[in-house]
Amino acid sequence: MALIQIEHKTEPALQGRLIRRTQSICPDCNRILPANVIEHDGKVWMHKVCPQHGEVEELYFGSYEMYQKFSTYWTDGKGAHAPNVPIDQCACPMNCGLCSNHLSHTGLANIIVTNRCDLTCWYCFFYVKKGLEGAYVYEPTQDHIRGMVRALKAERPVGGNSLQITGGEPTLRDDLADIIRIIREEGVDHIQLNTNGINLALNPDLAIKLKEAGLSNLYLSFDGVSPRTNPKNHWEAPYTLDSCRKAHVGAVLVPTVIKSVNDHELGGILRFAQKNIDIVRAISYQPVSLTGRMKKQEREKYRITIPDCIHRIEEQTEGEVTRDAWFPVPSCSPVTHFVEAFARKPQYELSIHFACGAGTYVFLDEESNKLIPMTSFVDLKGLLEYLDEKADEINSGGNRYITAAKFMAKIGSFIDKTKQPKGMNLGKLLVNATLKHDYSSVGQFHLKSMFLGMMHFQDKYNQDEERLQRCDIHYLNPDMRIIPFCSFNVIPEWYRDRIQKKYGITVEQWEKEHGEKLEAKLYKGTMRRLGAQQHDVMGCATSAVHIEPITGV
Amino acid sequence: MSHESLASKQAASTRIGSISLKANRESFLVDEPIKLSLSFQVVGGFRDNFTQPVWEEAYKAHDVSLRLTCTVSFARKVGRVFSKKVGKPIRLVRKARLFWTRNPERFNKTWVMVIDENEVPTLPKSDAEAQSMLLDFVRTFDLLGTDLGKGEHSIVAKVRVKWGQHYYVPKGMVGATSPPLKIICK
Ligand code: SF4
Ligand SMILES: [Zn+2]
Repeated sequence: MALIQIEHKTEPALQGRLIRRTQSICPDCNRILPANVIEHDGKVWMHKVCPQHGEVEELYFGSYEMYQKFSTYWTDGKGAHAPNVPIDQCACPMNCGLCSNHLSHTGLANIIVTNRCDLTCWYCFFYVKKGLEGAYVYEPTQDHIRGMVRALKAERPVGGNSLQITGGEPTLRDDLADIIRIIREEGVDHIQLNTNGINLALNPDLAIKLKEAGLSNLYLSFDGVSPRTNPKNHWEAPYTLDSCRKAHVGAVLVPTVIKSVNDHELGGILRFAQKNIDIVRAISYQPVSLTGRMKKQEREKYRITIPDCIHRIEEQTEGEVTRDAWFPVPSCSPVTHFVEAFARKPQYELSIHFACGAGTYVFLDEESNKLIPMTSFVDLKGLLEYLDEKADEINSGGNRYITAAKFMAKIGSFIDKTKQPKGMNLGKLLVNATLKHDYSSVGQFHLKSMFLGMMHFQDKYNQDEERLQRCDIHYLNPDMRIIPFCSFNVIPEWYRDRIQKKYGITVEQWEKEHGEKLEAKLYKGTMRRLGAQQHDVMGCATSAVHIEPITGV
Repeated sequence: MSHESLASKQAASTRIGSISLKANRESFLVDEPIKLSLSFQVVGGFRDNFTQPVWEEAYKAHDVSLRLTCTVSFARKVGRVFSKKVGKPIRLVRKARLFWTRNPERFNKTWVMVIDENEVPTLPKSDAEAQSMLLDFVRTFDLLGTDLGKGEHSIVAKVRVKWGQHYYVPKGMVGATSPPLKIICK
């Protein structure tokens, strides 16, 4: 029996050059459709036709040149060999859980600990909205959470080891520190907290408490450097970072990038991070995924993709962070394959699709106060090629110790020591990390550097099953299913909403059980109002409390 | 026959075929670049085995990435042998990546992307096209007249293609020398 409904209707003549064919869904009815990925005007587009709802053409990747470069790093991963949904035929996005056909083990697991939030951002679809029909408060119990983490650790061939606590706003849970402790007890080494940071700004002791429980870092919403672009936490973010300093918890800034809203501030966000480089470890730019029904015109207004963001960062940093500095996430594969070949056991790998994410490292040159991308002193492409070749050599029967010795002797030739940031020995660091699994010197890397990442989550307009099948950011659920991000959130009616209904309670019931109104925890904008009155002490003003103001360049 | 013995039989039959070396003309001035055109194919077991059904099996064994390194060097005849190297050897790397395609025409299948020596990725339309993209070489090279010096020369191209251990072919290397080409440098 065919599991999949594929429409074979004659398609209109293609406008542009066909790059590849894939599958997608209809944004109206979720029907699985054949889709073409095509090139025209130097950009990459997705084109599909629903027999019932018509044609959709959507920007897929803002630069064909970058698409081509990134696609050369395409390598399928080892997959997740302990499926919760065993099936023969692949039917994405219908059987997530993970099913036997998923091609990436969990790179980062998400656990929603509550869907309550202390903000009510107009564009957010994650939090429970009182008054809406079918609104459920979803807060898994600690026992459920322990079970979910065990499901993550049971993944094969590589058990998950990196977890994000998310919401809603997770700090609304009084037992958050206990939850972190449970996740640690179950053996997860890296735990990050996705937060708007407000409660941590108001209560620095909370950061210390969470750190003591085992928190690794914050994943802090941060959409821009002005109150207009970042109404969420413009006034509070500097205080959140100060709480992080006190608690020695690093922070990752997470801007959701929307064209015509905040895409002019990507460089400004980077400068803000640069000023706080002692505590900001990374920026994770996330081009917006467009949810709900949107007209083409509206989508064109807001749609932005990874290459567009990379180009804007180049422009807005006056060429400090160039477009060539960026590599797609799966470009790490040669490193993984080399370590795997050397260590003779499966390693954690980032095997997502090349169009899903990109990254680079930048280092701060303290003399010039400029950011130097790693590619300006490392021949990264050459190094990756070399590792690919050496992994092949070991896998083809070569002596791994001799190959490792060759690697150690050769590594220096990829690094221009005259341009390498002072006090850094990148060659030694790489040898230690890849061959000896000694990460002690990675700290020196972090102190003077930031990772710049880019992750483009999909939506119903641009969804590509080829990408989805390789997704490695997954949600853990109380029914023990592990569901890829872009199924969970792109088709919430199949996944997120059903799960939250099944394991949640009605708002009325929650209010009765807790003896408080849902809206009682809403943030009242205390810092914003105080900041407007006292520019010398709060947020974006010239700071009297040694907190860096939020400004652009 | 087991998969291993079949694969080694196919490796043993792999060879370089149809090698040819041509120049755009016969005589050159010594300070002129000499445009040479070299073509050859890797034929035999490796090629014959590089087909979709075999990719499917290789993919199941998580053998998804192939590197093919080709070295081309030129030599001139001194006495009775082609012993004098001309110019520097050139190294070309081609790659093949097997992946699970969602192309509705090849639903649920393994397909291949070939990345050529100029890092251009292409998705072939058929097995035969994939074999050709990966294993057929047609390249032009520039030699300098000064690399040869004045006089009449006989030159050859020596090619060597090697690859690692894979489901569809064991680790191996094949080489060949082109028929000699007469070049006059004035
Ligand atoms: S996205 Fe992954 S888990 Fe979901 S149906 Fe596809 S292969 Fe299975
Ligand atoms: Zn439809």
